[in-house]
Amino acid sequence: MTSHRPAGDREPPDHQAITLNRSECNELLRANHVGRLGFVNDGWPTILPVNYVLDGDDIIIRTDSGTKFASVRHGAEVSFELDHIDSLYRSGWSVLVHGYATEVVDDDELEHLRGLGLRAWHQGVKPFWIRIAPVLVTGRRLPKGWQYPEPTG
Amino acid sequence: MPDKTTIEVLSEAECRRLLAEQEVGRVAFVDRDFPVILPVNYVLDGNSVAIRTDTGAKFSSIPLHRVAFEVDGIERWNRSGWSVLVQGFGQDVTDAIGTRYEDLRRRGLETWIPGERSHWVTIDIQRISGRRIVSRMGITREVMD
Repeated sequence: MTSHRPAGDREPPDHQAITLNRSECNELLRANHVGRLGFVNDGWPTILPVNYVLDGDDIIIRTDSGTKFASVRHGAEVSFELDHIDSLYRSGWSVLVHGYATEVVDDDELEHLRGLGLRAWHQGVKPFWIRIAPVLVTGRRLPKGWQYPEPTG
Repeated sequence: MPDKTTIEVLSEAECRRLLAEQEVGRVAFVDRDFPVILPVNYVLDGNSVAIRTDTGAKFSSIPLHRVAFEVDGIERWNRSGWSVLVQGFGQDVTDAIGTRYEDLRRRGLETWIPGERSHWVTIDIQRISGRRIVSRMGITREVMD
């Protein structure tokens, strides 16, 4: 359970979600290593959990070859989502990045990416690297639902 | 030490079981050229995933459009996880008549993820697939079925 909390304690009334600012979203992006890539494949929206690492503001993923990624390799609008939703406490946060994905093919750039420490859980036979340049980053924190009462005394 | 990670393709029955067990998933749809992913509460209703949405512009991109819905369980500590992906057409059933929809609306869906809940949307399960990734790096994890 992360102890990170966005700055301030701004619990709004009515259980509305709190909008995170760009800096808070970036903090969450830096602190995590698994996200969900959203893209369109053969006309169908698709969501795929993937490991990622940051390179500046860009999100770097490595995934194996496969026809489903064809659209992403050649440049595509994608989204990248992270969240931590806690069903027990009914709390959590989510970050959504809209961006443009391109495959990285330049050898120098690939060498740079290999040094970023991306530890993909599963490495396919022919992995390729995707760089996602963000266009829009939004996030929100869910209000705390149930929580332990403060200890007395 | 070599990283022995295996990918297991889940059967449809296993996918449906996992889908039935969760209460939070993510819906993906295209809104003005960009795919959008949103965490939502949901309930499985027969061969559909039912969610509640508001009347905002982005949600108008769901009904009658191709939609994806995903649930996953990712265990960071041992780098294992599973995911299930559903694809189908979204349908606004807020005012749909028929016992099936009346029962669904009456059954209700508690949405604790904030957002308006004025509309009911179902995503019929046209395609369902899933996979489990198990890392055998040092720690062995029993994958309970």
